[in-house]
Amino acid sequence: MEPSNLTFIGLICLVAAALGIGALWVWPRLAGSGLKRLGARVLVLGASQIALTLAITLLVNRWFVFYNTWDDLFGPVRANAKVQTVQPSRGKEDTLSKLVKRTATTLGPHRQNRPADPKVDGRVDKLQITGATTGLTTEAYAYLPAQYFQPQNKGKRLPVVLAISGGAGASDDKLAWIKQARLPEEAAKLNAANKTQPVIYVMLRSVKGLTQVSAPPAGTGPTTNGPTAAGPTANGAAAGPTTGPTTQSTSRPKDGVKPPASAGSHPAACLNVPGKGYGQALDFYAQDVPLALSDLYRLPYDHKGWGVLGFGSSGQCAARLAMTDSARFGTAATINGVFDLSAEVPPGLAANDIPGQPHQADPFGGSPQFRQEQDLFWRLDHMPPPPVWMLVTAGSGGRQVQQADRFASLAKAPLHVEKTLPSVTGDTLAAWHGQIPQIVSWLSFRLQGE
Amino acid sequence: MLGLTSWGLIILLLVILAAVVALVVLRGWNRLGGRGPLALAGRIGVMAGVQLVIVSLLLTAVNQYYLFYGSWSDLLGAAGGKSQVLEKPPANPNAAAASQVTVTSAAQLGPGKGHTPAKDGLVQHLDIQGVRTGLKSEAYVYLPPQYFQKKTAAKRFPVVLFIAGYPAADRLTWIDKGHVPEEAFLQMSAHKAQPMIYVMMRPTIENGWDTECADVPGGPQVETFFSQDVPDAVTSTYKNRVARDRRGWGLAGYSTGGYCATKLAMLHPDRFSAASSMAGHFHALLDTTTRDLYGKSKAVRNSNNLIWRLKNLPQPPVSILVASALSGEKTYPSAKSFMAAARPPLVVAKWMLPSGGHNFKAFRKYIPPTITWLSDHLQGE
Repeated sequence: MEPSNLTFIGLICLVAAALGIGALWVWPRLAGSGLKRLGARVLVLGASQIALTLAITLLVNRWFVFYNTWDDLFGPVRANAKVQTVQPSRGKEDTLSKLVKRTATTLGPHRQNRPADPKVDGRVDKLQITGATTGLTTEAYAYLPAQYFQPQNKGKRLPVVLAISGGAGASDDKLAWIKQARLPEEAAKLNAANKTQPVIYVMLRSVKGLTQVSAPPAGTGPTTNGPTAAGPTANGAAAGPTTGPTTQSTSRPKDGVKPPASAGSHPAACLNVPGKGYGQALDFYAQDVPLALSDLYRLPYDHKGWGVLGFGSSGQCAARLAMTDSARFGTAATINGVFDLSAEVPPGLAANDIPGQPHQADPFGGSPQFRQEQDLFWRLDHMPPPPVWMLVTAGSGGRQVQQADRFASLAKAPLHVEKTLPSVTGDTLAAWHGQIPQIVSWLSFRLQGE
Repeated sequence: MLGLTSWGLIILLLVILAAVVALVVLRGWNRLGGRGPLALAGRIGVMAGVQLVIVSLLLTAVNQYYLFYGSWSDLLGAAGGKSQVLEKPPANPNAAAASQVTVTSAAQLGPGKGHTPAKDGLVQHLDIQGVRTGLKSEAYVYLPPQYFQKKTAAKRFPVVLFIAGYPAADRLTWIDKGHVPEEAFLQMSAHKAQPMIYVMMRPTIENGWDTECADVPGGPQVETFFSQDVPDAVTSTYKNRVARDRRGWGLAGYSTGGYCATKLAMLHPDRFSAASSMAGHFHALLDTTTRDLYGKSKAVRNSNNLIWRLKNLPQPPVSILVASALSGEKTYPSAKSFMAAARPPLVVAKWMLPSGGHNFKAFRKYIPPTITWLSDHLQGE
């Protein structure tokens, strides 16, 4: 008879009821004086109360399931059981390296008429990064300075900056940082002149350049949660983010599994859209990219060695990353950014641009509180400031200058904002090429390698 | 006023019980011995009254042992309250650029009372104030003997963050009830676990509010506190002695703490690589003690539902141990759906008791396998 057994509880309840009613019934007969009667009263009252208490305790225990068996209550404090595998392991966590594919390129700065030597020129790698937690994928370029390859620096971890392009056309091309801003070239020049420390630049596109891979999320069956609904996963092991974007279109239909409707879509904003299986762009930059890069290169462990740089429409993205993930990014720079939430999410914009689908619900899950918390100005005004060094750069005149002023005026320690307003007109990376040395120098000054 | 957990309250209730019983047996019995309905009603009232005193006594005693509620205000707070308490932080030009930590000795709480740290290890108490969140919490840290030994002076140890259930008004719950330092010492001595640094915390940031380790929209940013502020605080307190990357960081917790551990690992795989959920739930709670954690949004709540995440988002590259009981554990159905939805690269293992309730006796049984499993999955440097 275990304490959670209904028959047992019922029995005790019956006994308690009988004793309780019995006590009420026998009560008048025990009235009067005399030790014998007194003893009988104590006995009757005690027995009925104990039975009632026991019944109530058992019912409460049954309801909350504190103790399921007597052994739970009185048994030993140790138990022998074995750890069992729930689903096949694929070698613990080391599948991560499959999330990023690297190919060396000749896009890096090099001396004329000489074969490129990474130890002298540095190197630019082309990367295909697939997000472990977001299912987003993008092409990126990493500039590794010469020092990265020099044997005397083998134990060193150079600082790293994620540079996110933005704006329209060539300014947000996958080669925008290399061809328009000539970032590797400028960084190499300053480095060679000993004006800066060597810094690794990982050059990425804005959210428009991120693509939702079509491998359906794993699950036990059809889910009914909106557009990500996928059919039953016939082959669980093939699901998940490690399925590269190249295999998606061919292998999926063969399994009889439709890719999720969000496949091939691009996030509309540098946010994490709540309640959606897609559009987690912020986590892509904050979690997935650092996770993939740390597996590939020797990078700093501490946030003092990580920076983020955002141009134009990605300026807000860089600021947001540093403000929400300051344990990852200790330094940030924005070029010609606008920080109003409405700039990140223009009214009426959907969470994702899923082709052939009507506009989705708003990217804040319909919550005014959640929306408010995504507003960087509101955060500056209402939340503890993050420990970040930030450079806010805006061209002369226009909305960006007002935004930079407002951002800088709201910043409080330990958030340190430095503002520069160079006389640059134009909102393309090519137009800002002249400012790259100043920005690179500032980043180099703030960042710390290990 | 007598404290909710004081012996005074228990003695007071005992005195009341004795007085009521004596009064009834010696004086009241004869008066209520009549045949009329009034006398019968009186008898029923007396029986119910005595029972009420007994039940209050029992509840007080159980609460004193388990410390569900540490004070009367905790008890009242649990009845509900506002979910937005974020105040505008005061401007502080000298604000520190890192989380603030005050270390005090708590050696008497560890194995061998910490007389010889190089042999027994050492328990310390930390007061942590998060720089990013402004939240304050305390932690008890158990440093293994190897931390103090010369031959391992250059070693960086793995760190495991233990988060208790809600409310864990007993600040020492991991030490008094969980016996974590002793158990860690035992497993280490038996060579079943490597030396690790144990950081033992509670999920309760504000009394009477079960925040489920969430970044509450417009409220306390508890997820950020545990995923960013606490690791930073631990890293800066034990400089050069803790693992620097995810492979060396793990989590564990029971009940709500189990949910917290799993959620933090799934949402921050760049920081943590393994988590053990001991009798934890996997869906997103919403009740009077949690108040509104999701900005009144079903979508935000879904994002906090770990089963929903497995079914709708890529599987995060972390390892999870589900420690639960096949019978008697009310969170088991939740654990079962979680395990059924898990696919690689998420790796899930389970450790099942045939039977065990949602009580500390069962939680304590989950602790040894949690320690050895975490030890198997984490790497020092």
